[in-house]
Amino acid sequence: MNVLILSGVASAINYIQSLSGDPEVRLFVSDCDPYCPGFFVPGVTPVPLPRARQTLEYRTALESALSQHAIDVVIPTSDYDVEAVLLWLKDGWEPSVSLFRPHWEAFAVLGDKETLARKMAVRFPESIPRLFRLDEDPARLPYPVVIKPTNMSGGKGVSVSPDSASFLAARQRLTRDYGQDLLVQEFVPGSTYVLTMLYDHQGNLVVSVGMRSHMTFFTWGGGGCAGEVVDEPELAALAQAMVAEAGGWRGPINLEFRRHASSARFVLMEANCRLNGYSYLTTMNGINLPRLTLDALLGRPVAQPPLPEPDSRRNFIIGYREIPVDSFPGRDHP
Amino acid sequence: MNTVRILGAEQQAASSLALAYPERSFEFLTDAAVADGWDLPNVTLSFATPPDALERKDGVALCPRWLPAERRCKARLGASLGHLATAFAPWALPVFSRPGVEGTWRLKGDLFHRPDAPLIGTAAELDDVVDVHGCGLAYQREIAARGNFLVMGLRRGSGRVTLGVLELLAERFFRIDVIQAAEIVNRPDLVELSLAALDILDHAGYFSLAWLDTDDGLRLTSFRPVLRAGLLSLRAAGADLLAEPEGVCVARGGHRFVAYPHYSSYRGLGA
Repeated sequence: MNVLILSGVASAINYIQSLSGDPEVRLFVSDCDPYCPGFFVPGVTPVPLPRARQTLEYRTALESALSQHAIDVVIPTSDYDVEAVLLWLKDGWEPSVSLFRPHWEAFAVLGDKETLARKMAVRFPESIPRLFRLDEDPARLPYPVVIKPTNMSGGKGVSVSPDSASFLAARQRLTRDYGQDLLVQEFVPGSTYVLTMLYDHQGNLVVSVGMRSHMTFFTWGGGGCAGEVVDEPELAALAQAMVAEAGGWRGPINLEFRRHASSARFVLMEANCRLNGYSYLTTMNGINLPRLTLDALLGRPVAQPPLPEPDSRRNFIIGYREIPVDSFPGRDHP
Repeated sequence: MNTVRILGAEQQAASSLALAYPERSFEFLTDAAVADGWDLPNVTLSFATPPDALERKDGVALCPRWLPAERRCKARLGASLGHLATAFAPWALPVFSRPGVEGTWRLKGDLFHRPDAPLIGTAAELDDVVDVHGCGLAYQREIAARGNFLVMGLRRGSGRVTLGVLELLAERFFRIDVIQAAEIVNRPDLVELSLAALDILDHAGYFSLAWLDTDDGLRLTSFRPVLRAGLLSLRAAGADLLAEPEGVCVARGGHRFVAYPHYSSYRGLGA
């Protein structure tokens, strides 16, 4: 079976490491970055593609790659790839590969930080940060506030403003870089949690795993680079109710929360319609989410694996280890 | 052989060193609560703060925060590039404590690399930035470049230098700056200019010099008295940075590496 993983970083690393030893699977990894780490794993066939947001060029190149490599299964693992694929499906794309086909209407809610926050604020007001207009009088904002683009990922453009002067400068800089699609919200102090879920083709939840970051990539927060799996039924119930409120899902998805440092309530930060970036942690703990995702995608039965007992759970840290390579295939042989 | 003490082991260069010298043992010291390296067989990790570690004097600092006070002063970009801007014109690109009224500026850490994503903008657009990390703030004019190079090595005096030239092909900026992909290249011009800059600074110890290849020629944009990652490749290319230099030794071009996100389990460090 030829499996194409769209994007070669973050959660793609989980798919690559979890599936690369499987004799049933031949792995192909696409990315626009010729230096993405996923290209350099033995046994992986690199598939350089344009940026997913270069929609037409990307689609043409992807369709060519599907044909050239006789791809059977496509799994998008970055927000931009998910967005591009779902947009084409909405427009009638019918590729002859297996992939999850969640409803566009659900993605339109879950994939946009502001739409998600405004929709969830109606039913879950205690679990959403307070939102403010971009043109709000800076003197009236309750600092610190967060200002960030509504549709970027990987922590791009996030700024925490401690006062009005800072807010004005950040708003000017971010408007220059990202236009008017900016979200202003309350800063929530506390720890970052992720609830990753897997839904089958019928929209039934089949697997759910909670995780907590011990350290984030950026000093202000963002994705986790160290952490552990957690058993948080309240978090799981909240995340599942939010996905249902958005219209349900098919495939993997994760919701990121902050647990408020003083109130201990879980506050939604964003949804990512894919496995979370550090989801290899689950595989380290015997919950092989890429394998379960592939099984669900192929219509095979999938059951919720148990979490290990607390004293046998493994935590994780990501280190950026130097690996010698012979060439840069995306650069030398594009 | 003695254990090599690494100061500031939260940096990417720490595991790079341990991987480059599997026959040596390393003690990683860091003031981060969580650090990589627990699964490396030649590494032990300990929590330490810079003042504690500096009482013991010896060690390879991977971040200028871990240098003795007298060396930290000379390590600031404002000091090093300020000196080189006149003594090494036109190659050194000066830094300023405030951005100019006109143009686009890149914000840097004065003493050490400013954590998180790089910030580039006009003076008004950078007006919100405060020095929450204690690195100091330095502003450098943003210039277009077609190539990004790092000259890295160890200098004990004029004519006693081991170094290599890395073309930086991709970097990622998180809490720490990560070299994602690089290639050791043969660039005699960069070697010559770097040796000249180090002579002017009369620098002794490890160094990393960042160069941009621009339409106006090469421009030196940074000097830090520390190593970065790439040490496994540099050793394979003939540059042994744990050995005392004898003469000028330059790493051979052609070696390439990428950074792979490696998962391992850890034990918590902490005060």
